Amino acid sequence: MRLRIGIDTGGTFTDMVVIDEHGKVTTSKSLCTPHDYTICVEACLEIAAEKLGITVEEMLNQTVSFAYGTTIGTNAIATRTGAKTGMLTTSGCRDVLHIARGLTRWSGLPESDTKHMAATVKPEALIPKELTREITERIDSTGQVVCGLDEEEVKQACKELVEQGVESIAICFLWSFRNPEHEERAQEILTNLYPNIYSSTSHQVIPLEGEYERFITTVLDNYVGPKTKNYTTLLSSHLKRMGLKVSLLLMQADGGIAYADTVQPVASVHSGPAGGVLGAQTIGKLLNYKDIISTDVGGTTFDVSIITNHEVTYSREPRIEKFNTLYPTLDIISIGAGGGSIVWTNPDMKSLHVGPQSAGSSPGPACYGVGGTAPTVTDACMVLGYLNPHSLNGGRMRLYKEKAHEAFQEVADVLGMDVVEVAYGAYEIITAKMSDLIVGMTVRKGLNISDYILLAFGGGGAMHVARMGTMLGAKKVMVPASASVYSAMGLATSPIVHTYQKYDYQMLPITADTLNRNLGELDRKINADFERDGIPEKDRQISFYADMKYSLQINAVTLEIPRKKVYTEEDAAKLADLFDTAYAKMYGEGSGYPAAGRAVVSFMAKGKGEIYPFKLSASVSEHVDASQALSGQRQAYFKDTGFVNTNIYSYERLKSGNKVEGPAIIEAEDTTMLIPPKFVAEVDAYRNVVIEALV
Amino acid sequence: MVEKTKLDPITFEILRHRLEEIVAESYYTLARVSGNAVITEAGDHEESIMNAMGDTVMVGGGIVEWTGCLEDAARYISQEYEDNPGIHEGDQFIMNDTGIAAVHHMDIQVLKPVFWEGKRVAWLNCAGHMMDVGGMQESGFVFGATERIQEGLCMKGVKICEKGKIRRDIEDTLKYMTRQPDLFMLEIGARIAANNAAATRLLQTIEEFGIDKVLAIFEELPEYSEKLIRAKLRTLPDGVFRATHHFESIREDEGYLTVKCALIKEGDSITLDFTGSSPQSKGSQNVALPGARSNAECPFLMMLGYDIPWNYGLWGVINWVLPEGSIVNPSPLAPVSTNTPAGAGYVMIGTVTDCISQMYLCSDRTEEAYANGGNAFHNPNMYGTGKRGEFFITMMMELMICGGGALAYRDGDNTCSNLWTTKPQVTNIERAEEHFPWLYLWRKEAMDTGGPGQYRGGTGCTNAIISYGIGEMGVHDMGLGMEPRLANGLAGGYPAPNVKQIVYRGANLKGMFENGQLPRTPDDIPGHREVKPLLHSFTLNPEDAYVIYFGGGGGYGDPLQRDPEAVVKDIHQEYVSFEEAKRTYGVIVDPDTQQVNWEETRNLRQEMIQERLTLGKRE
Repeated sequence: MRLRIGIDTGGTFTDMVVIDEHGKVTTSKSLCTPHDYTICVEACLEIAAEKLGITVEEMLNQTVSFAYGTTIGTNAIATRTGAKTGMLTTSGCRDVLHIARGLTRWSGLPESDTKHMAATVKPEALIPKELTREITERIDSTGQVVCGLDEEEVKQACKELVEQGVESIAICFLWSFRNPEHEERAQEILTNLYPNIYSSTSHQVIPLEGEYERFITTVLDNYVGPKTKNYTTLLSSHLKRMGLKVSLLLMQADGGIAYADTVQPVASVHSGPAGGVLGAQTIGKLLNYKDIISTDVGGTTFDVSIITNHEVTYSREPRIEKFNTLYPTLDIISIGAGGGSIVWTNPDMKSLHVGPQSAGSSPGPACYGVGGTAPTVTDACMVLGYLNPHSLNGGRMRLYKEKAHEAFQEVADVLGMDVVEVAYGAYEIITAKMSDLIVGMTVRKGLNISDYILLAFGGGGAMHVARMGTMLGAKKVMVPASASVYSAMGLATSPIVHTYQKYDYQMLPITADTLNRNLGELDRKINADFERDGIPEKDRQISFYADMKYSLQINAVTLEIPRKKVYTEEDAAKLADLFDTAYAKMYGEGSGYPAAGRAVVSFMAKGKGEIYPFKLSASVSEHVDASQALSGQRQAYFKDTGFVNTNIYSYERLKSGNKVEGPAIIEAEDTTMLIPPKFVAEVDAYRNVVIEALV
Repeated sequence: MVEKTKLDPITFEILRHRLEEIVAESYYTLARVSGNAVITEAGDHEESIMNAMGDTVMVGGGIVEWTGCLEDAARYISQEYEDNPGIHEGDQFIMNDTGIAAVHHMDIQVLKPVFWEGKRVAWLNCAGHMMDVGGMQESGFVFGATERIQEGLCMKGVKICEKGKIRRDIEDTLKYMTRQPDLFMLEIGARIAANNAAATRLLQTIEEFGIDKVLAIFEELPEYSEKLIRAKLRTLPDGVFRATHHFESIREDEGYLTVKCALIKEGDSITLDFTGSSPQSKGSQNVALPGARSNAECPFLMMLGYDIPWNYGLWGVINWVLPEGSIVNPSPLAPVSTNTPAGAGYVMIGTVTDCISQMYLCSDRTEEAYANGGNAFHNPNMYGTGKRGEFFITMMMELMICGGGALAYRDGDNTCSNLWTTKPQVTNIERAEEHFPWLYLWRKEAMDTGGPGQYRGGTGCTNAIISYGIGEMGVHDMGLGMEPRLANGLAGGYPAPNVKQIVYRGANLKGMFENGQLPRTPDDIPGHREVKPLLHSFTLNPEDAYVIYFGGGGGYGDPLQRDPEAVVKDIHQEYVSFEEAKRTYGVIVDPDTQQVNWEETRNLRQEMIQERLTLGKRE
């Protein structure tokens, strides 16, 4: 039996999914053990093996793909406990990280916070000035050497930094992506002198223009590199001892997995959310939904990403904390809106607001009874009857309905409204904010929401998603089965991904040679990787892209170029039309200015390699009647009906093919699904719950 | 009588958020599609939604100092052009007249009326800086202007789009009158795209909620903002807070010019009185009335209105005294092009910031006060033959990342602040070198540029470049604070040092490069040293080097009360030199141990206090 394993370490839980070759899915879950993550991984393996009725060794012996998502890098950055990192940079560039283009004071803050200048603070740079050394060397924008590399200076600088106790050294020179000679040589000198010091160069980490973003990405790589490498080496050998025959695969922020020893450490930072997006992509492929909006409502944030024609989209401005980076990262937009968002009022104005402040998990929503007194979105759902008044998480957590009421009473008194009216208002406001975010994302990409299915992950999503769908005009919404382990599912089902980029600024028309040279180079790199990975040619899928713009513009638009072995002059000539059409679709007819000329900025190739084809097992559709799963009734509040008697169903007892008409609530172990009146939910062959409006 | 719709608090909040999103849509569209580094990399643009009469309902962040002007444009077009040429669906209008609605005429606004069932229900405005607008001088900043008519393109709300299409006659005229015709039209296209994106979402909102509710939020939101600002003003102390700032005139025959501001706060009313400011200047540093109000509103919005929706209800509470014939309200013929960033317009921002900070320092919210920062700087506008043989003109945007003013409890932020934008940023060195014909020698945080104080003002930055193209390059330098200091301190803090710029003639660095040397400080640069004054034009030859010190922020409190350990930390980070530590902070640091010599420091500080007592004279 061939098994695929996906394990995802989150903030609180480590989740695991095993899929056998018949498509049977087994899951396990264990509390994270931050002092040594191998412990929780082992715990997950044991639970899963027990469920399968085999030993861990037997399970690992049969595993053909073992993919892991780690938060080691993310945590090291969040707690500033990464490696002591030094930096070699071009003469004159010592302060690039300190100046940070002026961005770090406000980057990533909500619009309203940026306006309050007195309260915004520039964070300290990741590398202090005394660990940054300027090197005499200079290359210009065309790649010409202006001033040669002073090798003695490099040696001296490395020596000093090592004496100061650095564990890693980032090598960041201007224009290195145009001509990597100096960075390569400097790294060679360093490695010869100090083979144990971790080091990566900026052209190797991300060969794109923009020194601040390229340097900080490289510095982050050096900052998390030693820890990430050490940990994955440790875990690999651990797993090997336990019986794993194949190499460990790591999740990357670009939405793919790759063998751990080939992953650039910075790529693993913020890879967690990417797992969920991959999970959504998997569902899409399985059920043939090519266009998906994937949403995740957690305690404090609401995350959205978009899949179009089965393809994920990349962020144009990826950010790690307040650092704007350049590493290819899935486009996941996040706002401060979740179950913990606080409902508040301005007594003078008699206005009602929700968030962005959050009660988080501590003190948490009032109804958790762990000290929170401010009303939150979760409390609103409690007042409205959406949440089980007694317990959450399959009975593991007690809830206090009366505390939710009390919390809302104060706001209601200020507004002169009743508690239920205010709670419903808060629910509407937060759902509208979530919808506004989605509209913005789709409009900016020139997409039509009605083509998309809306997916709800996270504990809170299923309570908002139907209402959100109505606000957005989406035809269909879905709560996936075992939504809470979907990141692990994404890992278990993901192909290996390799992405390469190459900067080559050229005005159109370009020649066929430019296309063949650049794309050919990227293609060869990807195929070499797949060769090493042992992925046969027939299982590789490679796509090409170009970043293009009207020549006077600053920002570029990414355009897919149909892949060919050899491009002709005719193909090269077609680029202009291809770009004009894509541009007009994004920004409207007449917004471009072709008279200014068009330019290609950079090329990208992305390869996906299937390790072993997989499928999930579909259940046979049974009867429509869901009454076997009916577990009771309670009063729940809806917009047009007010409180109505609402059927409560147990998700565990629902069967494929069952239909549930709204108003109804489906309670699962880790989520609560709201089916409003005039909606119907159907359990599909994979136990996903699909909710649609009745027409 | 028709009953007016009154929104419930829930709908109100949902629509308020929606309007915010619509403005953001427009902001991001322009940032994405523009071809002007000043917009895409430095965020020099702003967008707004106005009601059918042109009053602002919601405005997005960006360059805050334009905020007031956006509605002046829409109001003017609504009042003047309703019948002739008419305002119709599919129209868009271009406006940059400083007498009506612009801080300076480089700020090109494109306005789109939005119609619902055949009736105009809103205006959208998308405004951004343009690098050239014709006239006597590249860049639009006209140093030699004595009349406004010499300053270049002036559009008073001309219909540039009709039935959704750009009018050819207007396009041809604009292209003829500007030096970068293709870029100019690309930028107009970008504004049109931004307005269209916002209009689409506004119309969807009307469809979703009904026109009555949308019109109701247009009315209620400004009322809401007014109530909030009045409530906040009532919590702050009454009083008259004053600031007087001096700056050098572009005209040699005028000496220094003055902006004088009194903020009079009484109950929930606030008056900004600029009586006592210099009479109208003969040169181009005057600021016309719309720009004067808009500039002065900038600190009001960022310091008092940061948590209130920005619209006419908020700034409508300000009472204005702007004396006619003065530098802040000159005759309609007076030149105004350099008022922002090198004249009365920007100086007003500093004075109002000072007044509001003093008011906060008299309250229990001292954490809201900060010293000036970012109002003393250089801002070279560079032009000439570009890398691909084309004419180019651009700005060095390091003025966006000046040092921030110190606060009452912490140092100002280094290299990331100024007083007129919420999102300052500077372009990458590589982006600049890709597009423009120069090569950077360095861009660094500059030692001793933060104003000393108990809390130090943020450090400014310094650049050095050489011309690296196929010919000479022209420079029109804008700036403030070279002679009288302008990034003022607060509560006894010192101002940031004067800014400066130096050209090294005949430095011929290419020879040095070939010998494997790169200069790291001005001392490493050979050649004849020329210190260039502000508001000055000069050429940069291929063998010259150009070093610029942009501005720092003012300090807070007495530098002699600064923790000596903080001074040592500043020395380690190269924010403060040993000499400055001794001279201004009275801190002696042992150069070997790099530690404070406490005894000598105590003695020196005592001496400095004694010396102060001998200075000045009390009548």
